[in-house]
Amino acid sequence: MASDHAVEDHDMIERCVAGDAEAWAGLCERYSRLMRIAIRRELEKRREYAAHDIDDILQDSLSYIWLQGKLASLKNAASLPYWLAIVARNTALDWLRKAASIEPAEPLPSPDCEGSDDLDRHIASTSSDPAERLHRRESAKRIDDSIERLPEKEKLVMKLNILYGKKHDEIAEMLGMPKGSVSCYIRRGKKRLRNDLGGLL
Amino acid sequence: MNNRNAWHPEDTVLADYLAKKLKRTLRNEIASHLASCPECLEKAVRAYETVKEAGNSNTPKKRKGSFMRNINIYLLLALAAFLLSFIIPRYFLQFLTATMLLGAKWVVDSKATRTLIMVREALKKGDEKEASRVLNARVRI
Repeated sequence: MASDHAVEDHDMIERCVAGDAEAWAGLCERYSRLMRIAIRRELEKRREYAAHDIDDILQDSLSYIWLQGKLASLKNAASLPYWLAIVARNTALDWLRKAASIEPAEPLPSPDCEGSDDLDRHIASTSSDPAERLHRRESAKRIDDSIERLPEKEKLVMKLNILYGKKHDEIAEMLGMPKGSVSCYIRRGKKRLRNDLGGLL
Repeated sequence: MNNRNAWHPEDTVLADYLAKKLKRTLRNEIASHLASCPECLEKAVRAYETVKEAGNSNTPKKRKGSFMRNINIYLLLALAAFLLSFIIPRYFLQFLTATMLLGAKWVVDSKATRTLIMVREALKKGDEKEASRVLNARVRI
């Protein structure tokens, strides 16, 4: 089933690169739902939006891919859904940046990662007491620093687990690792963090 | 953090990474980069989540419900070792020990046992909320 999709996509991509409008229409139809999801997820996080905004951004993404012949740069058909999700997200972020520059009253959308910065912001914003807020911010900073000091593989796995709340099997699936290795990295990472942070955890 | 402003992989390469289409060296290189670049990690996580949310209609996914997928490898090995202990009586004790070890690994590895251990640890810490959260999450799975 998986390979069927990849073969179909491969064929479709080749035809699109050759300028076949019919193949392009088919590809748009197959993946527009996925691209809409990518766009909606970005818009939802940052500001209010209208339904037609998603359509506009989708059109921009598709025009970018078609008019600039971007499909030619894709080497593996199996990567197509991920790549389209990335392109749609990039376009949505550009759109948000433009919208923020037109409406200066709106807070500028951050192109940065939610991860550690968000943890920091979230921790700092959950208390009204300034001293408590400062303490929490410092704690968050210490946690961030400790995570950054972990060995590379543990760091990546721990970030996905702690900052993005991903379960062991999701991390294994995303990184293409055995689930046992992921669990092992998490166990070791947590132990190191516990040693590093002492009474904080 | 140290790589934050250095090299960033192309979007196509990041997509290849998520689709598991990269060779080991490049794959490790991308994983190292993701560990220290919040922007690319964010990009990769969002793409992965989007494709997952879009579901089977757009994504190549593994077939579910296969009989072999539900059988734990350790259980199979334990059974094989147990049978071998009778077929090759000379190594009866060795195979029997292997059966016990693999059987123990199977029990510890099974989802239900892991849930029980997590619930027990949460209760030991006196965190009933966490215990019920673990239990609910597992029930949903």
